[in-house]
Amino acid sequence: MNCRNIRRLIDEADGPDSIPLEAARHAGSCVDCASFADERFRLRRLLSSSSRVAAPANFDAILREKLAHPRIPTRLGWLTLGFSLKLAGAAATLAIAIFATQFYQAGGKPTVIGDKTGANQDGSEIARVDNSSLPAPGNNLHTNHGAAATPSLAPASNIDEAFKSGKGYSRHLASSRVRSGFERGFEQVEAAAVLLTRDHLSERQFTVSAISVGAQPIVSFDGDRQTARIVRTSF
Amino acid sequence: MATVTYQAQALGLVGAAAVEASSDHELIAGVREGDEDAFQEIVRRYRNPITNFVYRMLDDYDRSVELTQETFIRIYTSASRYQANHNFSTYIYRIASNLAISELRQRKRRRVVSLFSPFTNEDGEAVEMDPPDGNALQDQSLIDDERRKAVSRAIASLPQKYRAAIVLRDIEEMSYDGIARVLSLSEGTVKSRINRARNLLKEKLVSYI
Ligand SMILES: [Zn+2]
Repeated sequence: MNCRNIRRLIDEADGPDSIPLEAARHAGSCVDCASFADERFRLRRLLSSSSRVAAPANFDAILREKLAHPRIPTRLGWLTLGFSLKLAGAAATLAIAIFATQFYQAGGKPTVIGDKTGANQDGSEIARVDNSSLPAPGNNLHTNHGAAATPSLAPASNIDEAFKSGKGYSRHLASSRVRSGFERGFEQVEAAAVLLTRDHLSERQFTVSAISVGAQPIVSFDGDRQTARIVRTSF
Repeated sequence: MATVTYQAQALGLVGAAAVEASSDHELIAGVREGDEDAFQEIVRRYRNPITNFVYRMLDDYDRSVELTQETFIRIYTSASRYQANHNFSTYIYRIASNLAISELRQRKRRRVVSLFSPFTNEDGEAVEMDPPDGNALQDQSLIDDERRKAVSRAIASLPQKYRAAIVLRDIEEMSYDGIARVLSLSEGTVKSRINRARNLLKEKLVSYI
């Protein structure tokens, strides 16, 4: 029997005294398997010797109380937090699907909205949204001011209307798109943004859907640090 | 009124003594007949091991107590449906295990909003990280406390599917066969999960073994 099988026997034994004879003989002459057995049983001793918790002193009293006054399910008992979350998730998925359909029907190419909205009207703090790793096809990540004048881009697309109405995007995100389109010399994408977040412990990058019907990510940008993070999601 | 006759009564034991000497199956039969003492005895036998088991699964004492109570409520309310073809301990651990696993899954879903938790385990669950102090601890009770915390943290950091198996085996010291029945898995799967869990724990607890 090879070392692997021997170790399996050692691992499955109830304790050091219950190792099958064959495995015990092998471990007697194999340093590696002997070391494995020693390490395993020390680990198991550590786990089994770790202190156990007990039920609190009032356990029986509380249990009696619960049995005496059971919770009666209400007619809306199905409306639990879990159900609500599932419903919200389904709504968000549907919204993304609707948006994607609208987007591709509108040409499926990035637009620079700034030339229609005129300027960054709210003058809010602007930061760069790093989209250098955006995977979506058709997203021209380089300077392309001429894109807005391209005939294939619908000038009054649903996206633009959504933007003007303030529903389409988080205003922060939208305004960053406007200014960045003019001043930073690159475009933001319509359907999603890749946000790079940093805190003192970690760095994360994730995609945020910029959708109009369902969830709107409310994004906080720090222009000085060129970072962004989701503060919360608004429905 | 209880109509169950306990085996212990045949040995001359009466009242509470007879109940205490009864088997789990006799007790659950008594619960089915409305014997409150029988239910009380079941609670007395299992409240601590089930609380400990659920606590090891969740690493959250208050919630563990709540789920242990829920386990007993289910035992009580479904006593009439209990079938004595399995060990009662398998039955009660299975209820507790299902509740604990369900709780872990709910927590995992809730953590979707916690995008910025710095420490997570392989299931994406947030784990409190409290690395051992580099300074040597002199007091034995402090060392024991640190070791206990390290074990709790290490178990809590295991993927959920390994956790129940390793807790039942190495803490509750249940047989592979019993674990397989509690978790409704094959014995081979149980052995494999325990082996992997131990390999992970060995890495996490290397300084304590
Ligand atoms: Zn060997």
